[in-house]
Amino acid sequence: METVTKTIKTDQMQQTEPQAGPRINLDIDHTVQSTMQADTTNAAENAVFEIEDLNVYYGDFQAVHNATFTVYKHEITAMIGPSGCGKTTVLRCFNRMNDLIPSARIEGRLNFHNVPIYDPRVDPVEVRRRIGMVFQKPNPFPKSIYDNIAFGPRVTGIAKKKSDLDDIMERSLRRAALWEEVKDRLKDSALGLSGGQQQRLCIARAIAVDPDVLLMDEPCSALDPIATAHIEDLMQKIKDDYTIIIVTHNMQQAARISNRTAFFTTHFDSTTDQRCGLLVEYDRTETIFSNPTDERTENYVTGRFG
Amino acid sequence: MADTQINLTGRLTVESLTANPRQVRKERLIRDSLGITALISVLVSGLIIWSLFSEAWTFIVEVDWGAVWDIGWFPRRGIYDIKTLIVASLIITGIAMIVAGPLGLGAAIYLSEYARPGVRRTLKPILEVLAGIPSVVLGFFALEWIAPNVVKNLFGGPVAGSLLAAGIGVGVLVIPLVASISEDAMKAVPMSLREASSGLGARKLTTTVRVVLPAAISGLMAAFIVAISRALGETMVVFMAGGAAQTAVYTHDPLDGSLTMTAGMTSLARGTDNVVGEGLTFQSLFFVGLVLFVVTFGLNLLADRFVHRVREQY
Repeated sequence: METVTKTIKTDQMQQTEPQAGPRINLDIDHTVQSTMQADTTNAAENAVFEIEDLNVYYGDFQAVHNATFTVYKHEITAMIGPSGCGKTTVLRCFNRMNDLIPSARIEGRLNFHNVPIYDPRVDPVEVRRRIGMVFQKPNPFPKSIYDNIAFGPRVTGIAKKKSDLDDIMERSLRRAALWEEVKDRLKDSALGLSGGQQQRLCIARAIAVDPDVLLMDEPCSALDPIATAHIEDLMQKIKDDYTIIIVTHNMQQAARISNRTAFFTTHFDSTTDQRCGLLVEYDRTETIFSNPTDERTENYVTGRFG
Repeated sequence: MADTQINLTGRLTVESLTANPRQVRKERLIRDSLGITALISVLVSGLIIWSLFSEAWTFIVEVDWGAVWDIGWFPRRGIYDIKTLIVASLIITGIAMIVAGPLGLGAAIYLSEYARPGVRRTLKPILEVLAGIPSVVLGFFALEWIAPNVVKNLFGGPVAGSLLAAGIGVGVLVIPLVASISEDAMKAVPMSLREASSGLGARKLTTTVRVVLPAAISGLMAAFIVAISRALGETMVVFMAGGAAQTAVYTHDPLDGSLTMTAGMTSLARGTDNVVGEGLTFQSLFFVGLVLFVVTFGLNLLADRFVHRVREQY
């Protein structure tokens, strides 16, 4: 807990370009570094999500313990850590997806543009219309490519006319770098696409409703390296319009694409014999990978643990 | 290293890897006896079909076809109007599906999509127990409760049995079947599709109607087809509550009493005279049985095709 608050403070005060750490040889993308320089000076105004003392329980089991961090606009925020550290659970809190699990319970503050989304008056459906999600395994509907993209606009009622829908179709598929590959077979089943194409279709489907934030839960873990590169390129291209939060098992991926990184780990409490997810450190990505404050972070990113 | 692992009794030879002949004989015996049990069930089915066909064939060849299209079903008097039975069967099946379709599907949607796990754990077994109620009990229920309370009071029908009373009774009988198979089909739709839908801002009802039901459509069709063939083949409820005992004049009014194919056969086969009647009375029983067999067999084949399609998806 101490560590967490400390890192947040340093993060907000830190305005200069951090020193590149000599210890690890990391291939940090140049585009990431350049946007980093133009980084926010007014942190509060650019905050998309403010999370404070977030605790998540599944029944009696506590999955996440006192997480506190802030997600900023037009950045890619990565959440890394070993399996069972609660990073996916935290991701699913952002759009109230955990509501679908009957035993899940959330405590703490989670503000989306200063609105507490766990307020009883808030309808989770309205939250999800503003926060898109891409899942670990590509999950297109067993419908045509067209109907997959059209699903969100139809459900939310943002496309009144067929021509509107066609515009959305082309725009979303272009943004997801899929248009050229599928434009002649929009009526074909989405299940006939390759895994990488299916995942890009899912991204296109998510951005078709024009969300503010895109949550990505290990979007490349089921894909080959070429498809992964496609998705990473795509994320860089669209992050000027969206705020992206990504959970990844791949540390190189986090280092390549993200502006900030949250490192989670599994904390084992020997007195209660329980384990739960703990946010160890949250900072700019290059700090996390080259000059982390916490020893656990360093051990993880250098591959000595997890 | 590898050598020491395999070599348990000295040098490795083909003989040391040869199976014990007694073990081999035992295996063969077990395999053969299991094969025989499978063969017996196939043979019995074949025998049933053969006896059905041979007697029905006698009827088809020898009957005066004018008597097969007449005023009603009076088999002991040589009048075998098959349309009386078929129409009664269809009416009862139709009514049964009007009752069981919405109720069964509604129950399935509730159990699969809305019910909390605890509720589901309690309700599903109750539903399955309902499927195990003997149809004679439901026959009494249809005759003693549905006929006076529902058919008479709501539809102005007779207090005694009628096609409507029997149809509702059969409907109640197949509700668990529809609900159970539909629920299985909907549960088989991957959770990830529901998450994708909610993630796009769809409400539960939208997700159910636009994602889950279309994805489960093959299984739902199978549920309905199986229920229809069950309703067509149901005997006890329709015989007890159908409102006709031995004979029936042709009718297509659900408030009248009539005989379905199954009830017609039952009424022929029971009684002290053991189907002694004029000429082909005995064979007519097999003819009706054949018609019923062909219809239900066709429906089951259709259901099987749908079930296979549901397995191929996602």
